[in-house]
Amino acid sequence: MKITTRKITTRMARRIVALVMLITLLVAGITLILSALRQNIVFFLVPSDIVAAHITDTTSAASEHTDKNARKKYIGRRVRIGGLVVEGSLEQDKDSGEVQFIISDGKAQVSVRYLGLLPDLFREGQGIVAIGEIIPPPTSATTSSTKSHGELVEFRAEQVLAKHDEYYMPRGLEKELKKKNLWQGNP
Amino acid sequence: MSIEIGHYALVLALCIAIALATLLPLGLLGKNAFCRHLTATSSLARPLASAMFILCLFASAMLIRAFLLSDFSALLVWQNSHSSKPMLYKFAAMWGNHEGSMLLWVLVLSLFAMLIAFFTKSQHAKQSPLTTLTLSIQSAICALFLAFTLFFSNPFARAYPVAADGMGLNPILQHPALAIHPPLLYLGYVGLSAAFSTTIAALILNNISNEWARATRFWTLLAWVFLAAGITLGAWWAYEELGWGGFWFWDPVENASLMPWLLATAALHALMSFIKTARIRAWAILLVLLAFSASMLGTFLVRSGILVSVHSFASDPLRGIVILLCVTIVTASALALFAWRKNTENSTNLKPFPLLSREGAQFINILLLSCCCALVMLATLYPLFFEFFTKRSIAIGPPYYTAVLTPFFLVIVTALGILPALGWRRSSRKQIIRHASIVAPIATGSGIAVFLVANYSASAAIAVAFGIWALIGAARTKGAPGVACAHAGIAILLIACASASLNDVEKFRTMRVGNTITLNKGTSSTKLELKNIFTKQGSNYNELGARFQLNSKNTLTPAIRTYIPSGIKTTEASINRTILRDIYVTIATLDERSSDSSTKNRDTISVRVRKKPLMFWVWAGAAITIFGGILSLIPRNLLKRRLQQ
Repeated sequence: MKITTRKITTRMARRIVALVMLITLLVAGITLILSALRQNIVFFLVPSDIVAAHITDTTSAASEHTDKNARKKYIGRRVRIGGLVVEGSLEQDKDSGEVQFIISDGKAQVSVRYLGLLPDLFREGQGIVAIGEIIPPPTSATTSSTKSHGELVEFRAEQVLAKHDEYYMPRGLEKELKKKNLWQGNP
Repeated sequence: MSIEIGHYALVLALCIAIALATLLPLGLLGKNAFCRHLTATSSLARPLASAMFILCLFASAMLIRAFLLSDFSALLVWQNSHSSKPMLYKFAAMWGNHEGSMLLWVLVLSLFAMLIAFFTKSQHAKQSPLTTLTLSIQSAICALFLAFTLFFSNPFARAYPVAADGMGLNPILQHPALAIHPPLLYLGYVGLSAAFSTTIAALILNNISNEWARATRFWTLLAWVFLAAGITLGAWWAYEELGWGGFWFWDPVENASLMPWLLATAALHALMSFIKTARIRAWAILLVLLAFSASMLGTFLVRSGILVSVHSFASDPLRGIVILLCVTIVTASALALFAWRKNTENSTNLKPFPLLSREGAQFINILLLSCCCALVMLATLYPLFFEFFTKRSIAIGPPYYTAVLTPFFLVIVTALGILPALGWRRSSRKQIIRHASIVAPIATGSGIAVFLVANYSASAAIAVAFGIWALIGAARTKGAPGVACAHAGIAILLIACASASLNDVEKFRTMRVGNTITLNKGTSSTKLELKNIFTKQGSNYNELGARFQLNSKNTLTPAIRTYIPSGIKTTEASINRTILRDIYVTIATLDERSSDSSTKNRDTISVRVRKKPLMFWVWAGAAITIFGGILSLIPRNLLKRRLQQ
């Protein structure tokens, strides 16, 4: 009798160990997957979002904790920004080939730098989406005045996407502009 | 007039689909002569199914006719075509839009209905109930999508007043690959419907037999081949035409075609195990059902426009909701039937199979492929849920996919590599160790070799080692040439993708005539000299091109095209290809983009040069995989006979 009970208990013990191992593996796997997902979230922003986050940063004493989370979320990580390219703002550095342009959502403007080929449908006055990072603001207030585009927040793009064809905006952009009541129909 | 006739043909097809879906099961229920007459293939099923297909084909032909003749009184033609467009693209414009592509979807559905009707072994005079019911269910699916096409996305709508000329097809879509990419992809997507119908019929009849498994395997494999070919062509198109320099971007639309492919692959392995050993039955059923559901979900995601994608097609919210409703009805009823049958099934107590056997390895493969599909789906749908709850738009970056899928894929490839040492139902540890002790050192050696000699990064070298492991494993697989071929293709694909995407070099700069650009990687360097910048006239575009001298023999001529009706520009990449590497050049100017006149000088262009090692083998690997699938489609005994002759 003793032997059989021992057998049963060892079998149960083995099963419990297997179950615990399985659950641990599963939890570990899901945690890893979710963290991979969270790390790779790319937020879609319009210039006013970025400027709002930026202002809280440079004048952090004034607006204590408003949008501080937002700033933490955006600066130094990959984001997408969308807006209309301001007429006459496109410039190219002749040596490096780096292009620079200003995008606007009607309320705020952001200066975008990009080292690469602009997409086929990129034009001034049209909607684009850029994927990249916000260049962190200079630490002291004095250096900010030397920027090429005045006081504008700067954004370094890794990739620039334009409207896919003549009828559609990048979808995220259209939605964001509509949300902020800046949408004026297809240009 | 022809437009109306096409419309009318489609309505007739809907009537026939409804008749087939309702009459055939009725015939199965009764025992009298009339009912027997109904189920006999020759009297009802074959003629009606053929009529349905011919009517759909006729409707599509009428629409294509309108496109070819540039009949701008048809709304669809006016929106998507232009009289100056080359003939091939007028033809392809039929499926380059939402309504036309839904018609194509329905056409392929009815094609498979007809194939099912004729897919009966010649020695049986009477059709088996499985085939009859399969045809009935396939017709029901046909009816559902025909009704959707007619009521919510009618391709035969008229435009009034009639415009003088059309709005033109998006020139990005003007590429020979695009003319055949959607039909291939749809043959794959919709081909899965035949496997789905067969499985539903088998579940209703409560008869999961070898007959079911063989028929389902055939349809799944056929769809799998088309799906793989469609995905490959799409990747080829992105690489050749879009000038993005890559071939896979983890875009939601690409994911939508990858998910059914992953599930179909898993389903094929499950079906094989079921045929050989009668194991992994429930998985086989579930995976076939899910594969078609995934392809419907893919259509919904792509066609509803709810995804933020660079591909973004039409965005009509009502249509999206209706397609979602169709998908939900079909999927939910299929899964409910499966759950019900699974519950009432008398479970025969089979011994658990050993993990070290073919079915064990296949089970691991099935499990991991399903996980891969779930992970891709999670990331594809996550932005939708995130936006719903937080009102913020997001996207999931490509690093997620590589980070999450790589471990799964490496385990799959490891299992693939030990296949020749495994047998059905049995495990021989000795054989596995012997196989591994030969192959593992070679694989590790080649990994170290590319790391030291070819300047590969550590991760690329690891991928190469796994690829070699799988390649030798595939080469040693005996008895199944199709399987060996498909596995070898996957192994080559792994090595080539790792080389092309982890080990590429890229350079960007502005250039004048006479300038040179140099790519350096380790000891090898590539030099390109800009010879001249030229302009050229095409059939419906103007071209600004640049000529680069690569070496004494080869020149590269990337260009920018400006299409005449729309003024839209496209980048035409120029590629110099050898079996070891691709040199990929694209150019751009600031011309016409800026209102500032100082940037309008034509002697300076921006140039991007990429060197992608083993890029040729990405396409070769995909082709070999597809060839393996085709080889497996041919019945074994036929193949043997041919080889002996």
